[in-house]
Formats: sequence, C-alpha cells, structure tokens
Amino acid sequence: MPSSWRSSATGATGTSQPGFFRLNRPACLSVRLAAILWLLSAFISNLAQAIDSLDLTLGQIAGEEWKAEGVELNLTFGTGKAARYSLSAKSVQHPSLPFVLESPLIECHKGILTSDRVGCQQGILHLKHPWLKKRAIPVSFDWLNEKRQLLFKSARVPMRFGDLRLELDHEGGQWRAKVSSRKLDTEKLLQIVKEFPAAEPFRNMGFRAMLNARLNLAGSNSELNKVVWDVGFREGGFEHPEGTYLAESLNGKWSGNAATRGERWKGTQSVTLDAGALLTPYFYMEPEEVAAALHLDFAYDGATGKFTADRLAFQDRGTLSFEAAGDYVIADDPASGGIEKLDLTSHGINLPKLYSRYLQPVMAESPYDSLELEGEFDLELSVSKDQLSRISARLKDVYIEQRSDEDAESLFALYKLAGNVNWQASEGSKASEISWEGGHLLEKISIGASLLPLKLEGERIELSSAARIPLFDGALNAEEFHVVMAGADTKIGFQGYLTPISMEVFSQALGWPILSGQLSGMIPGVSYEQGTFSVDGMALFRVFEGDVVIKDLVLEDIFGVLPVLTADISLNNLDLESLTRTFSFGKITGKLDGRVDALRLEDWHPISFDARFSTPEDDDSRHRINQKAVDNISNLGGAGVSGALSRSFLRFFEEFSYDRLGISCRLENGVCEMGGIEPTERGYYLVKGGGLPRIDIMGFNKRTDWDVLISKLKQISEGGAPVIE
Amino acid sequence: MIKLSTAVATLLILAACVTINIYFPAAQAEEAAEKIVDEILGEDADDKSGEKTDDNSASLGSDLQTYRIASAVVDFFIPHAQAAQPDFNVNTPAIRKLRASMKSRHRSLAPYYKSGAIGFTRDALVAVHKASAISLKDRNKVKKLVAAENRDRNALYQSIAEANGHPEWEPDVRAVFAKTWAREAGRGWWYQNTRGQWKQK
Repeated sequence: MPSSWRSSATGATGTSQPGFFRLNRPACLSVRLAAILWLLSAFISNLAQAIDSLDLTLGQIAGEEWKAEGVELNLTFGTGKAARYSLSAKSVQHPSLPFVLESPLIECHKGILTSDRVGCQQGILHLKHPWLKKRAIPVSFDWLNEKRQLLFKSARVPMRFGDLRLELDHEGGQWRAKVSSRKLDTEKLLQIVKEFPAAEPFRNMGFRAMLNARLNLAGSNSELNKVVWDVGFREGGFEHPEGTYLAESLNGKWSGNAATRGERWKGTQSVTLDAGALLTPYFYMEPEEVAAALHLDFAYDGATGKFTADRLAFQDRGTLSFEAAGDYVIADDPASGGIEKLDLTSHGINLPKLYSRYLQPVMAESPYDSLELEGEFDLELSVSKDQLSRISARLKDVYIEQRSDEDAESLFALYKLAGNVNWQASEGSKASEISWEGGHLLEKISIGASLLPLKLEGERIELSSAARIPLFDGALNAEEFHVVMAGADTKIGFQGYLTPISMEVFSQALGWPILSGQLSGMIPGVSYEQGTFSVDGMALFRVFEGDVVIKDLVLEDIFGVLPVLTADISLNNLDLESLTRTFSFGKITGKLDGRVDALRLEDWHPISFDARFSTPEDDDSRHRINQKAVDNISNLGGAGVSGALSRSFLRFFEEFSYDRLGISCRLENGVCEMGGIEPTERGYYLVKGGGLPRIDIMGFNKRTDWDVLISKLKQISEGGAPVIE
Repeated sequence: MIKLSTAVATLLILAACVTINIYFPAAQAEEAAEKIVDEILGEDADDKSGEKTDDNSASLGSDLQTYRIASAVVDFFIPHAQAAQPDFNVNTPAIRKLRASMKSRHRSLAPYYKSGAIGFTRDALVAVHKASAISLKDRNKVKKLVAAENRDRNALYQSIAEANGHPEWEPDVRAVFAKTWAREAGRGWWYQNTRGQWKQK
C-alpha cells in the first residue's frame, strides 16, 4: 500500500435526526487520509449524540498506482462502543489485481473507529466477481494510524477453482501475507486466468493438479522479499503439445523458501514424489514403494541471470541417488544461456533398476532396448558450457547380455565385467581399463577372461596397448583398435590376428559335425560404416588337411533383425577322405579345390553364391571312390543311378577309380543351377572315371531346389548333422 | 454390323495392348501382400482370412475380373505375352530386410493392436487409435514403434513397386496392402475403413 494518500472529496452528505448537517463545498479538497480520519473521529465524538447516521461521499481516492472511485462511507451510530459502518466504492483499481473491482462493499458489524484506529472485528466484504462462488466474505481488519499498520484477515473464500484464505499485515511499507488454499484445481484456475500471459506456458502444457498450498510472503511496498511455500499436490499431470513431456497422477509435496537482497535470491526447495509417473525424451520415472526426493539449495542473481545450484541432491533409494552442483544461466538468447558448469557424483547406481525403471521405456527401437543387466556402478560427470566435459565410471561386477528378442538367442553377453572408464572431451584423460571373466558372441562363440586397457578422449576410444581376447581355445589378439564416435558415421578400426582355434572345439560349439584342423587368420584391418563391418585381409581355416581362406568378409547389421554376411571363400587341397568320413558321405580319396564366390547369407542362411568344387588339376594323389559315395553323388545330381549300381555287375567292386570329380552350384532365388566338371550332351559329369574299375557319374538335373538339396545332404550325413551353411 | 463389331474388337484389342504394360497386376500383388502380411503377423493374423471387412475388400472382386478380362484378350492376341502375368517380385534384399524388421517388431506391437491402442489405417500404415489404452511408461515406446513401423511400411510399398520396375505403382501396392492388413487383422483389432472410420474386427 502506498505511503502517501490523496483524497479528493467531492462532497459529503450527512443526514441527522433531528439535526441537519451538510458540508457542500466545491471539490479540490485534498487531504491525507489521516485528515479524513481525524475529521471522522471529530464528527463522531462531536455529533454522535446528535445524529444516527452519517453518509460521506468521498468520490475518488487515489494513490500512485491505484485508485478507488465513487467511495462512500456510511456510519451508523449505536449505543455501545462498537461502531457499525460500511464503506463502498463504485470501482477499485490496483496493480496487484488483474481486473477492476466493481462495487466493492465492506459492512462492518462490530468495528472501532477512533482518530487513530479504524478496525473491524466482524465484517463482511461484498465483492462481485465471476471467480467467486459466494459474494459475501467474512473479514476482519484493523488500521492503526500511528503505526500506519493494516492487519487484514479473511475467512475461507470459496472460489471457482478452490478455496483461498488470506492474511495480511502491512506496516509502514513493510508487509507480510499468508495465502492458503485447499483443493485448488489448477486446470480450472488456468482456464479462468487465461488472460494472464504468465499462465500461457502452463496452459499449453495441459497442466493440472489439485493443490493444498500454504504461501507466506513478505515484502516492502510493491517488492517481494521473502517467500516460503509448502504445496501438497495430488493427481498432478501435464502434457506437452508434442507429447514429449508427459506426467500423470503425480502425488507429492513441494516446499521451499527464498529470500532476496536486491536482485539476489537465495533459498532451498525440495520435492518429494510419492506416486505418479513422469515421461521425458531422456528418461521415465515412477516412484516405487519409497518416494523419490529432490533437494536443492539455490541462489539466483537477477542481474546476471545466473542460477546457482549449491547442492542438488536426488534420491530414489535402491536405484539411483546423486549429488550435483552447478551454474545455469537464464538468458533470453538461448545461445548465451544454458548450463555453465555442473558436477555430478553418484555412488552405487543399481544398473538393472536404472535401466528398467528409467531408461528402457524411452529406448524402443534402439539396439539397446532389450539388455539384461546386473551389477552396479559409480558415476562422476561434469558439464561445462552446455557440453559434457568429463565422465568417470567405475563398474562393479556387471553382467550384460543382449538378446534379439525375449526368448530369442543371445547376441552377446559378458559377465563379471569390471573396470574404470574415464572419458574427457579434451586431451589428457586418465587411463581406463575394462575386464571381464567371460562371455559369448552370437550364443555359440565363447569369449574368455580379458582385460582391455583403453583411452577415451573426445570422440575417440582406443586400445592403449595390445590385448588378448580368448575365443574357444585360441584367441583374438588385438594390436590396434579404435572407435571414432560420430553418430551414424561412427568408424571403427581394428588390426590383429587369430591364434589358432581348434576346429574340433569350434565345430562342436556350432553344432557341426566334429571337424579336425585349425582356424587362424590375419586381420590387417576392419572398417565400420553405417552398421556394416568390412574385414580386410583374410581368415584362414585349416580343415581336412587343406586350407580354407575367407576374403572380403562383410557383415551388415550383425545384431539386427536380418544380419547379412557376404564373402568370397576359396578352398585348397582339402583331403576328400577325411571330409567324406566326417560327413558320412561314403569314402572318396583324393584332393579337392573349390571356390565359393559372392556368398551372401541373410540371417545366416545362404541366399546366393557361385560355388564350384573339383579335383585339382595337378593332383597326383590316389583317386578312389566307394559304392556308398557313388550312390550319394548320384542322388545329388539326380542321375537316377542310385540303387542301380548295386543291382548291376558293378556291385562286385568295393571301390572305383576316378580321374576327376567336381560339382558346381550357382544359387539364386532358392534354385541351385548345377553343373559338374564338364558338360555332356544331356547333362554334366560329376565323376569322370579313369583306370579300373572305371565309373562315370553324370548329372542331368540342371536346376535343383536348394532346400531339397540341403535336406538330401542332411539325410546323407545321418543324424541330421548340418552341413556348413 | 460386322464392320462395327470388328471396329469394336479392334478397339478392345488396341486398348488391351495399350494397357498391358501399365496394368497393375492386382491379383499377384494381392497374393504377395497376403503372404507378407501373414508372415509378419504370424499367429496373430486372422485365420478366417476370407471374411469380409466392412467395405475394404468390396472392390477387390471387380478388380480381379477386370484384370482377367484384360489378360485373356492379350493372351489370345499375343500368345507369349508374359508381361500380363508378371512374376510379382517381392524378393529383393531390401524387401527381405524390411519384412524381417517388421516381423521382429510385430512382437512388440501385438499387445497394442490387441488392446485397441493402435490400429491399421486406410493408407496401410499404423496409427494410435486410443492413446488412453497405453500406459505412460509405454507411451514413448509405442510412439517410436509406430514411427518405425510406418517408416518400414512406406519403404516396403515403395520397394515393392520399384522391384517390379514401376515406382509409380506405389499407391496401388499401398491400396492392396491396406485391404490386406485390414483383412488379416486379428479378432478385436481396430482398422480404418476406406472412409477413414475406425472399425473393430
């Protein structure tokens, strides 16, 4: 309330019985309220015995920022000490009111009017306003002129959006106010106050809640100096128009206080969330049995726009708790605002709970949306100028597994994962180290205990010294490994070699027939781009006493829904005897060369390739083939001699001699175009005889259904042991 | 009279000849779409696929007939007109990948089809039908799944049109799929009819 009051009384009328009083001078009488009060008390003391009531038309009363028009005062003189009076105005305008008060009226039934005191212990304030459910509000007030103090208290005011209660203590420019509300419906409130620009963002958010609030305010003149609040909210929620921020059924408490000195505010606030759910693009939050709590000690400098969090503590017991401190600059220009600095520390984060409760709900359609996790970790991170500048994490006994689907096979897993990961944006980061005790890749490839010394800096992760990752009984030796993170353009570089893995272990793990030999290889480089790994160099298998070389291996979308593998494979000098024995194909002696060009596997099934296998040109080993093998080959080529052999004179021979043998298959659209070592009139030679007893096997079937061919091969190898697919 | 009928016949043949290369092979497309949709929906597909779904499949019969008449005339006139019976190609690496991706995603989408939260739209996509049936926790997930599914579906229709050498067939492919999704939708699922109204199977 302003300290200087002006009044322009246009006139005052009083009616008296039996006497008559009339003051009727032209306006322009400008006096202070004190003068009016003095006048009043003078009238009252001097004329009370002479008059029953007095009507004073005060006209306009105005302060610097407010004015009341058509002010009238009516005094009724009773017998007791208590005064009865009423004060009304045609309209009142005040900057704290968002509207013009039309025809306010205070009726005081039990009041006091003296030269230095205007009070009312029992009064009714009559107000007309669409927000009000009832027009009559019981109030009490007291104006002590000497102290220039006004005390005001209202009873519960039923409004359209809930109940309000107001207490005010105003003394010489200093004031304190208590506002309390019950069952305040913010949705209704926001609908009602839609003309307030300050309500705009809340309305767009579809903000709703039921509030029980207590607000203590203190200030001087029109400035607010101190505020203490205690807000209980129920059924709180909001909805961002784009649906990116959503909340439902929030129940909890928000309390705090803030005091200012000049433009600097300082205070604390805390929020506890007992129930409800909150969804943001970055995390989801829903308190479990224990409430989640956030506490903040803060300071705000209005001159610089800097908001300082001296201590920000979050606790969601059993899952995540952290402490942080930092500065945030609030600026009109978003480029100059943002997090100036932030340091966050958290210990003992429960990894599976953090993942399932906070992160998984916002991770759909990402490669990490179906991880199985165990273990915990500590985290420290720093943000500087709106950019992450440092992360340190310590992993403890972590287990991680990814499946393509809940009951599908495991894509990869690592267990007993531990280590320190230190990353920083600028150079000179601390050394990092990750170790694990075991794991597997694509369900079947087992990974042994490993330790990777790493360096993480900026966009680059690199192996700081050579590391050995055991695979089965061999190992992948990484000499150089780095990742350059750039979103979709992430690049990976790798250099290393495989120390021999025994084919026996390898084939067993993959559920193949037991093979002998070794798998080894040089990997001069692996490049990665857009989800595709390209392996430079070659992997070398030594199987069946020959060499299998895999070149130009490309793996697309390896952990995706349709992994694709393309490669060129060449096979040299395989020993047919051990090969046929392994696959129960009968018995063939001799050597075999082959090529599988443009092999394409989708979801590990062959889609297309161009394959040919044949006896090497310069092979001088012994070339023999037994009856069973002849039958099997005939069967494959569709020659139809199967069984015929055993009925003919040839059944007397256990084995036959051959010059060359071979088969080719060009797979496309599920059909294998077959061929042999050389064409004949109606088909092709699969086996061309030589020496005695001589046998030729011809194939006539030029197009075979691939699935039929595979099922035949499976039958042949008995027990259904699969052929390398 | 003879002249007139000859003229009509000539016109008919000419018209048939003209349409042959641009005629969308609705029947083959229908068959291919059904196979793809069945594969994606798996066990969730409505087993009574012959059942009519409101007005969605109403126009199918007449499409088929038109097609048969056209092809019969062409066969008669140009005996080796294989083009009228093109092998409708839905088997390129890109299409296989989209099919695998949609099949895998279907496991995540299925509960929301069943609860009526989402449904099939008349333009052969997926849309939210009843947001309130999705818990807040799943809101973001469903949003992303629907966006990803629609990205794949759009790519699928375009890829199929392109695989058959006619990128301009995309709307026809989409129309065939719209009918197929609605027809194969499981019991209790929601779909839009051709007027865009939501219907429950």
